[in-house]
Amino acid sequence: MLALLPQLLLTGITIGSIYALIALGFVLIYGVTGILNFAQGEFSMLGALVCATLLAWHLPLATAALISVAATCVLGALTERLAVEPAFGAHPLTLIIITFGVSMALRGLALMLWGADPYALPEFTPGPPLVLLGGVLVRQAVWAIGLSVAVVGALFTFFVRTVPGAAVRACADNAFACRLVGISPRRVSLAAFTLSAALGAVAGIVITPITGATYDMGLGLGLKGFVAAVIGGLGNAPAAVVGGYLVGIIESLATGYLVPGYAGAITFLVLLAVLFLQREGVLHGAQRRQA
Amino acid sequence: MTARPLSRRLIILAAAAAGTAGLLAPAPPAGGQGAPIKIGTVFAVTGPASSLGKPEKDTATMLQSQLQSAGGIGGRPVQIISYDSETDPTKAVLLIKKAVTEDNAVAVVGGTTSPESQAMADYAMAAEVPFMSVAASTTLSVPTRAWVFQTPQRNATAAAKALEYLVAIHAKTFAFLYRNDDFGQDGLVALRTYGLHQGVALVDAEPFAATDTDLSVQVARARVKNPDAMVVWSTPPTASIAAKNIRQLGIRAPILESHGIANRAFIQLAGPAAEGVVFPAGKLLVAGRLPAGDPQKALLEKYASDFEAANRYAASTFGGHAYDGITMLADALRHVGPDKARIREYLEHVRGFIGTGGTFNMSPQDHNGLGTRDMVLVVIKNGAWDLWK
Amino acid sequence: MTRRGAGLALLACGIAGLPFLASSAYLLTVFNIIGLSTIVTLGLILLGSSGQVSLGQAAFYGLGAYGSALLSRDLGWSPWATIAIATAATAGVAYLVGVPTLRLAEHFFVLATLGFGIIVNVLMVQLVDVTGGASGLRDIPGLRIAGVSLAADRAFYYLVWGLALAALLLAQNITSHRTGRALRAILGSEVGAAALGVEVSRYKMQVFVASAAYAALAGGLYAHYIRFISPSPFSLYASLFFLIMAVVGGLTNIWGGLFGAALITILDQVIRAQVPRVFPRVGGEYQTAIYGILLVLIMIFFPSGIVRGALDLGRLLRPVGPEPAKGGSA
Repeated sequence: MLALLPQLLLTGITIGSIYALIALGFVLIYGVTGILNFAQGEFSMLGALVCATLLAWHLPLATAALISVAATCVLGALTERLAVEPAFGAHPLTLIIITFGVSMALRGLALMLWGADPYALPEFTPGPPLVLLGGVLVRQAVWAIGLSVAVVGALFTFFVRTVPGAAVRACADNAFACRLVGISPRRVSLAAFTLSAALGAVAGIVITPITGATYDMGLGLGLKGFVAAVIGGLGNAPAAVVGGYLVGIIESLATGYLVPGYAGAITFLVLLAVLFLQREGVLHGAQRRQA
Repeated sequence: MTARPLSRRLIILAAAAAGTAGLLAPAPPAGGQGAPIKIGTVFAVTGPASSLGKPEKDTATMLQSQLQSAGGIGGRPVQIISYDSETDPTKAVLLIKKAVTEDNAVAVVGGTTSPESQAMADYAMAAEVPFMSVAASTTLSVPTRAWVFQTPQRNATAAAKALEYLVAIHAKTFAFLYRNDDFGQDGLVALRTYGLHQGVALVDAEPFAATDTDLSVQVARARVKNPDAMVVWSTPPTASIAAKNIRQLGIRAPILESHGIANRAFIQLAGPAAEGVVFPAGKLLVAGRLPAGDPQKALLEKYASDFEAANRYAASTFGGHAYDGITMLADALRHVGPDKARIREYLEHVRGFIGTGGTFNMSPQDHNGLGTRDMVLVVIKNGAWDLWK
Repeated sequence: MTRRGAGLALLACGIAGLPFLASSAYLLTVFNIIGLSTIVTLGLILLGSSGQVSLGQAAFYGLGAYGSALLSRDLGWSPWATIAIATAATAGVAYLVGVPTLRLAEHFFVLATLGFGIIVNVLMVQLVDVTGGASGLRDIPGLRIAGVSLAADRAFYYLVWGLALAALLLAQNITSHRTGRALRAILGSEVGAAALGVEVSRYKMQVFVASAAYAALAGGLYAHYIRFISPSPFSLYASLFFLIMAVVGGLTNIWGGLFGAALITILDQVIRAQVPRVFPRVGGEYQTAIYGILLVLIMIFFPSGIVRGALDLGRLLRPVGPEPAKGGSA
């Protein structure tokens, strides 16, 4: 059975890179606003479906992808303005339920616009898969992995090296003090949703050549990305990326060595375990938000 | 302390209840030359199975207008009532009940997915109303139940057809990758059993979920057993992902899939990996390539062109199942009139009825009436369907 | 107290009389399904009164349904006994789930229940030999009293609504007696309540177990009424739907639970009848979009329903005045 291991790991990394990108979106919004955004997966769905439609209109892939990311950004901003901002300062539970509502609404709208059939995108760089240690890795997975690393790098640079980034971090630390120095927490929240929507759209577009895109792909992806974010402690972008890869590898190993079919259950068992074990850390994060 | 608001709330409740009663009250029967004969249909127009239920409902609508312009049946207008079960078995039961008790439907067609059909079949048995299921689960008509009929080729029939391919290519072993729901589990049981009889052994069975995004782990596990053929029992997108993963992992063995991939989405999603994939299907898919003598050819071409003209998208085998159910009922109504027991009796003895799914030969022991002869093996060649020889 | 009694009697009369307004068996079936949803929703609102929200209610509903169905079908026990056993067993499961999770902050508790719900649903699909897998379980025995079948919609109607009223009374008692006051204290401030000597965790556990038992009871009744079960009515979507019912009707009190399920079901019928008239080409899942938007609107404009749990009917009825100061938890 050891012969399976390289393939299991490579598969885990492939799926994990997708979870990582979605987890990053979670962390970005949670870190800045304290909101757990369960509509995160829907951004991926919209990014993928919009891109597939533009491609069907004979736009080049890169153009289609860019327009689709931009469109999803607008949608992220609208979500923030129409659904989250009006409930600003409400209890975290209220906001969680709101994001579930947004998720349902977007899924319903997507079904009206695109129907239930799956859509395809071509691989960014077509070609035979790479062979590594006896396992194979599709080329598109390299894109997904590369993008998740690049995004972490970009976020890190943004938050640590730039003034707006520092403003956002300051806001996350202390909203009141931020207002005192003229930074609006609401604008920061808007920015966080817009950026997260972009991340989600990128994730959706990158994975569609591997998996296809359907109107109902969002909730499942969002929940897995969320588990990844929780494993990473919810406040820490690099840890969330690691969490994403961990969830992917755990799923893949569970499918490969335990009973296939239970991977979904195992992911959420991991979530429960992490919630229990890291209670202190998680609670600490929550209290920090409430300050 | 709460009396006043309570009474206010009671008024609201009463008003709401009265409102519901009003909203749900049956419309007065349409007048004209005799009250219409009603056929109830319950399809999953929305929800996860909507890609199946939508063409089923659109077929019902199309047949309604055809029946109308034909002047009804026996001088009486026919009304086909359509309800949407939202792919929810509970709602499906509620709606068959509504069709029977409220609309006085003489028979019901529907149950897009097998769980919906199972729940509706139990009700049809209790209420003694003819029910034509459009789901493919073998257990819907095996064992036979008095009031329950089935228009699609059973999953077991499709599996038997699929096995013909394995036997023809002299495969001795196969691995089975299946979506872990009623569809996949049905296929697993049937292929394992038939394979045993024909000397084709199942060496590995790998379940996956409909929402899985990568199946290379399952494929890698199957590869260890080195099977002569890879069999996949699912619908897109997972059916396509499986085909892609099989080729990506360098497996050269032939791929046999299920009748669940009989739509364009499979070819689009699987890309080059779709080339050479063989699957069992109803003849609708390859109607144009059927020999001129095929009894179904004319009907299939007419259904496909009528459907496309009415709905502006291509016909699928799923809509065909609804077509067969409704036209067979119309046939029964023409012969025995709107009497439930006599319709049931008539349906049970239908012989040589040509539908989109095949030539139906019902009997008291067989409420499906189709066999492997009504299916063909289709191969994907240059991104298009062709008959496999 | 006596006035409340009078109100209840009136309500009971209204419910008892409703079947005579119903024009068809189908309508009665709809009322029966509303009754079952009402019991689940009451449990959710009871839970909400302690400041907790669960996204795993459909799993408890399903445990009650599968537990009772399997015991009665495969062991031949009386469905009455199996509903009771399944309800008690599900309450036990809830206790075990509650021990580690109730200590989590509210919004992590909700996620734990969500995870639990998904795990239970996966097990329903995967344990084919026990649950029948995705194809579901058939031939579940119906309910009988002294040899007389309760399969008739009207008989079942009185059973389910009788139990719904009993569930309502019990929830009222829990929230308006000593426990309820403690809950109110917890809503204001958990730390404050604890400082006042209120056994916070014990009360939270009590209502959580009670809410699971409510859901399981409804699930057991459902299984023996429809007599066919499959995993799909017990998925995360179902949990979300129960939550919408609780949010819509409940807003701030137990009595709302009576209305949430009814209002959503009526809304469902109206949307189904009207939307295709306005947009004939729309074949999609427009309901989902509408419910999603509805959920967002309610949470924006009436968030206090869930957050404060507000069992306090009196405060609601006071003439409109300045909002009481928000609790420290926001």
